[in-house]
Amino acid sequence: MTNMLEIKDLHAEVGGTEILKGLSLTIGEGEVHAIMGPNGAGKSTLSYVLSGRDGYEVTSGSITYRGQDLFELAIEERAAAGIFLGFQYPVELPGVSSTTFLKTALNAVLRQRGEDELDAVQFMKRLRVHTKSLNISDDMLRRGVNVGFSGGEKKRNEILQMALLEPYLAVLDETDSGLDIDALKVVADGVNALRGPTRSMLVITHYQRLLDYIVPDFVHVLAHGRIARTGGKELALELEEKGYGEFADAPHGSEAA
Amino acid sequence: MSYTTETADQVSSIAGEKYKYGFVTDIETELAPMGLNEDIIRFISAKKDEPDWMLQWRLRAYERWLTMEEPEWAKVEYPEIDFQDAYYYAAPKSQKDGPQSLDEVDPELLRTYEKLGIPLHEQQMLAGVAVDAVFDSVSVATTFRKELAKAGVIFCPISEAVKDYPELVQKYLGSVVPYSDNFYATLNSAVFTDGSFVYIPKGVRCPMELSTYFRINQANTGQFERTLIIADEGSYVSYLEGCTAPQRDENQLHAAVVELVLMDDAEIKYSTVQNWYPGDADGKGGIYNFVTKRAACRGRNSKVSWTQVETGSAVTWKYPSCILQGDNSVGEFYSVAITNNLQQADTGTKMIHIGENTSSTIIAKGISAGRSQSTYRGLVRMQPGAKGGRNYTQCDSLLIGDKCGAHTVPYIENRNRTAQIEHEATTAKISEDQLFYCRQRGLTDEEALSMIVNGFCKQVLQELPMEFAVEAQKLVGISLEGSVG
Amino acid sequence: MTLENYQAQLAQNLPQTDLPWLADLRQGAADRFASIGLPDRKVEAWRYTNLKPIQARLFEVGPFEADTFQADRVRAGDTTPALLSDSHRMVFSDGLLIAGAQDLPDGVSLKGMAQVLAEDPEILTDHKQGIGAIRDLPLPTLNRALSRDGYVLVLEPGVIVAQAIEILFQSSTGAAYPRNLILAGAGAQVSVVEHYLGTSEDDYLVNGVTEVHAATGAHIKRYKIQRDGPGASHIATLAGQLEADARFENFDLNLGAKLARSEIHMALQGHGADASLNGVYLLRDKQHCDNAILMDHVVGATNSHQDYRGILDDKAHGVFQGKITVQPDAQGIEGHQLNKTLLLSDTAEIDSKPELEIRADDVKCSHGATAGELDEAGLFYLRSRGIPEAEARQLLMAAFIVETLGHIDDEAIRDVMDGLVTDWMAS
Repeated sequence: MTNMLEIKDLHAEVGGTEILKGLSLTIGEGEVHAIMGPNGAGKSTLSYVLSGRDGYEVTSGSITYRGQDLFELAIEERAAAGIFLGFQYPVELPGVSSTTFLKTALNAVLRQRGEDELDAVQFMKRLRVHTKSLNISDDMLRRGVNVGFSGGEKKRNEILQMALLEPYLAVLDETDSGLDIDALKVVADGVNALRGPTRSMLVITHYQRLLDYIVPDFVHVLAHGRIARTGGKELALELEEKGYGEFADAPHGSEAA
Repeated sequence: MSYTTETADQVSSIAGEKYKYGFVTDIETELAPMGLNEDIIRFISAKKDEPDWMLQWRLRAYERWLTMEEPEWAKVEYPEIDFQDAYYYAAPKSQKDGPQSLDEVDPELLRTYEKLGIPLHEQQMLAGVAVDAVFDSVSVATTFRKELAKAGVIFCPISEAVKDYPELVQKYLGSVVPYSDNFYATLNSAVFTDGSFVYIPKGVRCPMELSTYFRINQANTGQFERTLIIADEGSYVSYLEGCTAPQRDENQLHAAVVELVLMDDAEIKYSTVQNWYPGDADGKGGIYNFVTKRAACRGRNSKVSWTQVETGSAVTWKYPSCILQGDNSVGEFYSVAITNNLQQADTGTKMIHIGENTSSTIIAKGISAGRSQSTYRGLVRMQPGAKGGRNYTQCDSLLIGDKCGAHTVPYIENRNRTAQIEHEATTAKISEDQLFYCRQRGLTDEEALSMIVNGFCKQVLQELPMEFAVEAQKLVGISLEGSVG
Repeated sequence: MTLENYQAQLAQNLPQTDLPWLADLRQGAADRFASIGLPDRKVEAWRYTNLKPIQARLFEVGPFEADTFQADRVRAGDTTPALLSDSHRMVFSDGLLIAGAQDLPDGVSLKGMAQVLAEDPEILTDHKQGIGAIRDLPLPTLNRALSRDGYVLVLEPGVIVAQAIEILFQSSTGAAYPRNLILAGAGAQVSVVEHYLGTSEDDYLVNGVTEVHAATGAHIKRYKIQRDGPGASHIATLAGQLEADARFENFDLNLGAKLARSEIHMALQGHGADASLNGVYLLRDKQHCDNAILMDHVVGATNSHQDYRGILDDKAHGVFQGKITVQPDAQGIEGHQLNKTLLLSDTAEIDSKPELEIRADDVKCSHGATAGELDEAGLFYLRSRGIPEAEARQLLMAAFIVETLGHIDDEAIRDVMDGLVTDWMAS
């Protein structure tokens, strides 16, 4: 079976500065990988490169997504192909109700996949299933997307979108930042409910805490723009104890910082 | 299916194409000789078989116009208009004495209206909207007059009203916008060829929304529409105005005048969706839209609401206004003005508070893209007698791209200490973050832009009657095509 | 007296008529004013202010004898009233210097304009023409033709002036045309208080021009306290050019004069430049005060802020015209403006026109304006707690103004302003 994601020797730069310096990573179907690392290592950059954000330039290397060259796809095409990015700082869209946004997005994806779009009734039915389990009120749906939302509400909103869009690969960028333990649990439950044999996840986090709830199959340390170490879930605990100190210096052979 | 739904579907089905109404009907048109002089005015008046008092009014206006100069203070620039280089009267030849029923209407004309999505068939009564269809300055057919007549509502072309209801016309024409008011209004007073006349009797709630479609066909024909709506005590009417025009290479002038008169406890809701041809991407062609619209809230507790979505025209100069004379009268102005490519718009409103406890609300949203310039110009004045007057103004500008301009020029004049005026304005742009977020959820650039902009305009769009709201939303998306990416 | 007599009479009354470049500039200005005259209400910038009352006074410029200015005739330690207990003082009377500044720190030069023209006109080499933005406007043009004196403050780079500079302009008669110049070198810092005081009830005229040049990183605070006489007309034009990271704070307190106009043209021409223009206008009787501002964001990464508040009583007429312009390519700027006015009588009037002209898209601009009376709810609350109505009104009015005074860092100056405001409210 084809891997969900194969990243080979990826070099990427932002504003002329190289951030990813030869990153390689393979994610199989149904697997949950965690990426941890010191700040500035390139974790968010990786998530933006995967989603195709402007301003993040790939200078060499390849990314194959479900057997397809990812670079051939535009941002919305990647979304339609099943890549979902859970933002660290979800943006506000004043005047655009969550309901409108979600329906428009879902139908855009369905349309691109050649499937039938949903009418209002069908959509609401599908939506309600998820809002219930995530404890999202009707009031929240009526408000502008993320406008006036607390940190926890914003993250729940991200998970709601993920549940609705049913991606094959979910990249969650520091989903736990700014959350207290209760909010964290709600978000983690939401994510776990979406795990499955045909869905892979890339969970990016600075702190080990989230991984107590979303237990990964593999843990990678991203330092100085590449994967410095890979291990099982115990690696996360080890990092929690020791910190990122041993990764502070660039490994032999990489460019000088 | 209502005509507006038909139109909306037509519009959305050709999304991505050039301005869809770019066609010309091949019909013989009777033209007055080119140019503007006293003879032309007499010609127009004679063609319309007007009583002498109407002709005299026109001539007075014309004499006044000769002494006036085109205003220059708006922040718009356009090539000088040669007023002699145009035809001021064009009527479809096939119309002699007006059709008694739709069977008598020229089939070519009817086909034109079908293309525009205007239903002139009795079956369309289900839509519940009466249409005074205007074709090149002359009203061709008026539907549903029988229905309205039952309620006592008068809705007819103004050329008819001049003959059939002279007392009403004489009493109110020019009473809100005097013929000497401004350069374009004066020109209009001299050469107006048609428009709507509406009278709602005391206590009557007009049973259906009234509407007018405009269309300019013949080259070099300026449109000089004149509309007069009188709402008697305790009455209510909702009036829709939507405009289309075919592609042209020479600019076409549109100088309309709309007068609204409200008695005690009357209410008028006047909605406009304007998508006149804006000129191509290089600014060539396109309509010049210079319009004077004013409502006189003469009666106590009267209320007028102007709602407009302006996306077309090469140059727009337009300030729907309210004179709040009656105590407790209310004026509202909701506007979305969109400019793209090389369009220029200088629009806004004037709220003049005269009576006691009057209030006004202004919500103006301006969106500029391409190399366009959009200016909001507003006046809120509390006269010395405007005890307890209240105004709230919010004007927001959204800039798309770094080559356009958005300007705000509000005049706030308060001469009564118990009156309160509050004004807020913000300027912002659509952020890369917002666009990226939407695209990552599967929306294309255009879809994302359309959605965000509609969210920005929501406060205004929700004031439109439902039929118009759908068309308006699609218009918003279409008019911003090509502005991102 | 007309400008035809300019060469013959007026020009001879001005200092340094032997400087050819100055004579040219003055004649050019005289010619220009002769052809354009005073602006009338049809000029957009003057739509709310009528200048006819000053027409008669324009040319009543007093004599300037060649030996009026001499170093030893400038007195020190005069007895004219000071606002600050601790400051470097300079005094002008009806437009002429009568007392020069003493004991200035190193790197600070503060002299009269006539003195500078006589002793070292090279200071003015780069500034002869004056700032382009205002050069051709009618009132500054007239000032150029008729100015006899003013102050010139030059700060060398890095100089930080600890004590404030207080300049008193007292007037009683005729027409005075002070022309002032502040040149701040890179990183220099100073506070300047211009105090305009009327000592008669005559209908005298003051038409002043102040130009400010702030080099990279300079920080200038300027305060203008206008307490001209009840019959006076005071027209002031301020033009500023701020280079990178320069900061300019201006505060205009308008209390006196029958007709006052304060026009400010500020150009933010270096990245990081920041301008904060604030003011208060307290008017009664038939006073008229017009604050007109043009804040120009020439380049990106600049900030501006305006906060003007007024209280109008009797038949007073207040005007605020604040314009923010953002040039194309001036990205990443922030410009905010606020104008609030309280009307205390049925015959007072406020006209406010906060304008935005934006040609770049990455901008954060806002403006807000309110005009009306004291908040009923606030009054009721105070009275329900036992405070008598008159006092409650005073409290609310004071609170209304205090917010703007809060922009003044310098405590001593803020206290002076506060005192003047409180006195006005109490009287």
